[in-house]
Amino acid sequence: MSTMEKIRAIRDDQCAVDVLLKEVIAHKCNSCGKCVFGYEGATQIIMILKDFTEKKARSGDLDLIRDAVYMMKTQSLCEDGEELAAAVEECMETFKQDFEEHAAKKACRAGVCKKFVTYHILAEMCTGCGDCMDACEDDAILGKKKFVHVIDQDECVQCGKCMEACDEDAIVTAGAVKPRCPKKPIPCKKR
Amino acid sequence: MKSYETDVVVVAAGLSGLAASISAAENGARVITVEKSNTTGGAANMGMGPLGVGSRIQRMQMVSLTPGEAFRKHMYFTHYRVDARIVRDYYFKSGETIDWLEEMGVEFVGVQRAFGAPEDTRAYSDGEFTWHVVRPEDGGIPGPRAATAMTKKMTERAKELGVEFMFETPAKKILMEDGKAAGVIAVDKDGEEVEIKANSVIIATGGFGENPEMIKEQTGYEFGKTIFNFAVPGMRGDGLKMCWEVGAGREQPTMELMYQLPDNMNHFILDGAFRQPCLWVNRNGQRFMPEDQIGNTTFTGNAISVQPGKVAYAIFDSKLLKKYKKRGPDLVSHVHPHDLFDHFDEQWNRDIADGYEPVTQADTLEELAEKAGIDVEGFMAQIEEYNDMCEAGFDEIFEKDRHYMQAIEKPPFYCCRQNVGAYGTLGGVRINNKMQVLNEDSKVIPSLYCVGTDACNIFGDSYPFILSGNTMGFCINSGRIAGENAAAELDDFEW
Amino acid sequence: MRITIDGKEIEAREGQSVLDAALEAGIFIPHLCSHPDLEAKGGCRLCSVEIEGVEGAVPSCMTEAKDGMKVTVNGPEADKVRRTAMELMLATHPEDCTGCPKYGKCELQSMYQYLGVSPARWRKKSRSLANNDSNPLISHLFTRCVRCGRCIRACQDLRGVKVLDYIQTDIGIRAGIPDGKSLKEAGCRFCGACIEVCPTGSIMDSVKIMREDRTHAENVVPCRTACPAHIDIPRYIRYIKNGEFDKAEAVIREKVPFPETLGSICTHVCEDDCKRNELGLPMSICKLKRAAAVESTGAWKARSVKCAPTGKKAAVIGAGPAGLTAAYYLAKKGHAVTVFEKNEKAGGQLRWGIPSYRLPDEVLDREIADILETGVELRLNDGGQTPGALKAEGYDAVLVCIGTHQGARLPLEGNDLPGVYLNTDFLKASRAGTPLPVGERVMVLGGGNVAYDCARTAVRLGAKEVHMACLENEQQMTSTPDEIREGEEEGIILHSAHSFLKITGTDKVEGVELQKVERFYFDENRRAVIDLVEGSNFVVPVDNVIFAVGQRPEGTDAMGLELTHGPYIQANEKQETSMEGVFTAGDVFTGTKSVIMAIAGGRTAAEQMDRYLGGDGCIDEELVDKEAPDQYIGHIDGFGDLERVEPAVLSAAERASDFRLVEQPFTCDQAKCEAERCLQCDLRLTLTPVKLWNEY
Repeated sequence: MSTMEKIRAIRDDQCAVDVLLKEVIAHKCNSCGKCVFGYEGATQIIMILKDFTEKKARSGDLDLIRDAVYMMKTQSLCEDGEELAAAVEECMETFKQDFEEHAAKKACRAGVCKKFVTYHILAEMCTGCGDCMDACEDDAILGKKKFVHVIDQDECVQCGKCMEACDEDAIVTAGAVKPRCPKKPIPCKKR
Repeated sequence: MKSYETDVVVVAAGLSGLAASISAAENGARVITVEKSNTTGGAANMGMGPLGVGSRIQRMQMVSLTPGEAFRKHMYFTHYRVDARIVRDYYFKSGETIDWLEEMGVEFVGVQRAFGAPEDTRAYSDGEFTWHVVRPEDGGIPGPRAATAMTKKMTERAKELGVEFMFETPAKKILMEDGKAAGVIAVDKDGEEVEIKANSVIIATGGFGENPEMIKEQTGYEFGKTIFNFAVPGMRGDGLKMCWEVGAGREQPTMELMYQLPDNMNHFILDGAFRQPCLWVNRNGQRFMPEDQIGNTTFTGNAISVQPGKVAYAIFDSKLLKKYKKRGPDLVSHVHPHDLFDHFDEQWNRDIADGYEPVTQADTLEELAEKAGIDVEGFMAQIEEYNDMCEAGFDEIFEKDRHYMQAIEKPPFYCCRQNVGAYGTLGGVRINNKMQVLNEDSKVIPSLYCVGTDACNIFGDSYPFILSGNTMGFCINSGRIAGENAAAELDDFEW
Repeated sequence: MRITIDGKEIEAREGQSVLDAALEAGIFIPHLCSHPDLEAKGGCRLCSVEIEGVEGAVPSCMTEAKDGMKVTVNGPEADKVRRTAMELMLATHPEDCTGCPKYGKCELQSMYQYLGVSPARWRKKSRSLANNDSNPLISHLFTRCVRCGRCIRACQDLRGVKVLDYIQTDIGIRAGIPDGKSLKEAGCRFCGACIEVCPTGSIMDSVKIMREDRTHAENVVPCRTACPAHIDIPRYIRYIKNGEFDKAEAVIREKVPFPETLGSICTHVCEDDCKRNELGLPMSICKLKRAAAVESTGAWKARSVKCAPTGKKAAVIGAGPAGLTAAYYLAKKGHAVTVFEKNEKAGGQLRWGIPSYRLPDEVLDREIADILETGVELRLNDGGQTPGALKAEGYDAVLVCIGTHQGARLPLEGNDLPGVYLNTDFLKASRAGTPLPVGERVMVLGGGNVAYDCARTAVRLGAKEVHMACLENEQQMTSTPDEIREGEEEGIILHSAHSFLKITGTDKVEGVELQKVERFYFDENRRAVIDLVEGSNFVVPVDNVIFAVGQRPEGTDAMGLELTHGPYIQANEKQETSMEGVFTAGDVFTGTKSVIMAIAGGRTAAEQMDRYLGGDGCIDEELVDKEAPDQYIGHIDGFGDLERVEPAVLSAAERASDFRLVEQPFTCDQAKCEAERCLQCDLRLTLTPVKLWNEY
């Protein structure tokens, strides 16, 4: 399948930004290097899309991609660059909202881009057993026995190990809408 | 031997040489400028812009600093150990020089400072808004090399004024006639000697940053061992040697200190990654300065230069690394962007695999010190003290900003050795405020001028970063002053 | 045809690109991936222009000029393309140029200075990797690679060596050697074209081979630079490779009138500087020179010109290599030249100092005859001339080049016993056919090439046991390794690092007392310091002792000239002595040096004397047309490891009993084979230099 065909086959459970990023990485232009716009253009698009998926977008990034695409379309050395540019352009047009939400660091609707997902411990479910704290390799969970545990979002790396360790199903993931949770450990209600 | 005759011959076409060439030509002189490389701009092509005090731009930005105030600040910073007349004339010229550049078509994004000190550490360490950063021609955001837009405009202006450039033609010797400079002998790209007779000679060769023997001899530093300075190819001290050869007085040259990783071009991310207020120790394992000052490259370079072996070690743990990756580095600069930690792992792993010598990683602090060559016992004692202070939230030793007090405790640990670096060399040829070269008795050697870093003796022991853009500022203004005086000499001559 | 660029009409040739036409007309269009000698590819787009009737921007390097074409260089479209391209290149190039060895000579730097752009809006990340200095001669610093492909096109298409290519690495695509090979393994011919065309500092000459006091060309072709006469070595080697021996000899003769002599006995300092030393053994430059002379038919003579008589008379005192060289060129410049020679034959040290097993009379006679053909008058057996007298006789200029023909005798006990000889006397007598008698055992004192000449001559004169002793250890000895090896093969017993205490014997030589040297060096005042090993004295019983510890000029005190360092003639860099119109050259001026140094000195003397006599001082000749060398050198597997060809040499047993020539010249095939090894370092200098914007 060509890059364009793959772009056109994106399903709802896929993140368009993520798919496009992988496609650009796998594209011939990224392993050729014979022309500036094909290679350096692809390099820039990859770096920017990667930042999108990692919630590190900057203002003006969408325009930057459009600038690169515009040049690649007319100034690449061969049709590969033109084809890639067309695919990126179409993808951004078709999935405009996804790209804008990533660019605004708001959300990854498909829930694919891990950095947009946060982990939370629901106060009403937590028994204060401490299993999650033991499982966390980044010391991102605060709490003590019989207290509702709290995930320090600054420390959390979204590895998901706490969720696996929790027998109470107290840990959930969240996208754009976050559950209400205590800011610091409080005594448990559930025993 | 080819022979030329002109009014003013300028040796080297870096920033000071360009300024000298233009101002001499503007004042009616015929100018030949010889240059060793095949581009103009010299080391200024790496910079971003010069100092100016009292420029139109400053007034527009409501910067109220006057040349007189700048002069006093400079003199306090140098404890009056430098020639006040040169400093005075330089600052009083500098604002108008920015206007002069603007007329030439050079655009500036505005006036900035290179370094702002934290509120409570400002004495002698805060930068003034004197740094005129050049706007790229496409109007984009300036970065390193931004000053090339200025050197290009200056080159075009010089050509427009009829300055004749001779590239790949290093000067070898100043011709003297009856005790007066009368031209130079240069060698062209085919190795043939060229004689250029001139009414006056302006030397502007940019110091001796690329001459390890001369660095050793003049400053005691050993390139690649105790100092890792910028070695811009061609800067071999030609100007100093030529001036000294014809009897110029000697001033003690200095290295314009900062700090740096060896071969930093290939390890640039690490350069920025470790330039952070984490834990810094010397070879004995001891802290030696409040790390919140690390962003001040002059002070830090100085501090490292007085440590055992002239080295320091910057250390952080995985926790701090995670923080940097997540929130960006504590200190950013023009060359080290805020997202540099995105590429840290890639660079770090490659350098560890390649055995890049200044870096070390270990799972215990003892092992880290051992591998890095730090005294283990001293280091462990320091760690204990430091971590305790972090927990207490106060640095009892240096009162480092609390914000940066984070314990070093979670493996793996990362360490990067820091060496003394330098931009290049400063000074060596004795001059007066007209940029005329003086002999050992401080008597003028007629018709011989020396400008730019070859003659920049006004910084004393340290770069006066409190007045940002000073190196380029002195280069451009000394060049301009010399060019005017050389041309004026010519008027006398004709008259 | 005519095309218009920015309103200016210029001439363009059929098939020429718009870029080339503009540059040729002195109109600058930025460009980076294009190079005058390489096929345009259009990858970098810095040369974008707008053309009337064509939509958008097009790369001018790929656009053929058409009559009447109207081109705009800085139109908005082209400008945007150009600037964006530069921004993108800079975004992944190191931000900090100050550590770069190409700073100030970098095309990328010049180009961004011209364009004044900043990559700040893009993601910035340099593709950094460690420098690779593991290859001989060529340093790879690919952190700086901008993928312009110039090195690749130079290597693939222009040279046909096909070593460099685009390669995929973990830091991305860059130029490099596929499959992780070293340059040698990949079959690199080390021609350096990649270095010459690289616009950035990605491919550089190894720092250690570049000397600051030399120009680029002098550094690039070190053999030619090192040769005192600056013979165009790579050029003649190329002719030998193609079997064109006549042309090869002509190239040599453009600088020296003694090709075969030099080919036999030159000290070949050129080989010490040969870049092939970095790969293995150097080119056999000296022996190739001999092959060229032996195989040629003398066709150079047809091109050799002699100027009309000037009416000026020049005298040369001493018919050694310096004097004969000067006489030759002076005669060719139209001056009437007389050479005065004290001995019965011409040649100086070539005749009397060098044994005939290294340089037979026939060779020397032949080359001297060629010199005399120019009309030089040679007066043999005519010694004792002085410059003052010759000037008085009507000679307009005089050259004194009487060499150093007096051997030195050390102040040792027994140094005047019967059976003690001096190097110069001993060698000369042998060469004249009246050898000094040698007994069964001989000791030569000295460790230079002349000492070996004496020792090996003694072997040939029938001595059963020949010893040599010198202060230096084997590493310090000034003789060439070849001499040491060949001497050893002939059974010479070497006592290196030994001091000579005295010559024993009462009525005649009975032995030499030696003592072991612990250390021999020169202190900071350049005085020799000798540390001896206590109690290591021993006596070597011998019948003859030959001093070979240096030689000095003879009879200079009667010349009426200012002298220096004792008997040496004082002169300035123009080789003018204290007497007007009197010049000097060779060993009597420089101290005992090499034949090639004497010849080079003879050339300088001829130039200066010609100028003194009213000529232009130009003795350069073109004995063969300057031909453009073939740029396409092709791929040779294992080129870096090709072994040095050695000529046939008589076995020690065969050669030790008489004065037959020890070494045979290369056969034709051997010569061609050896010539094939040449790196052709000069080839890259024929590439067109790139002009930067500030030179337009």
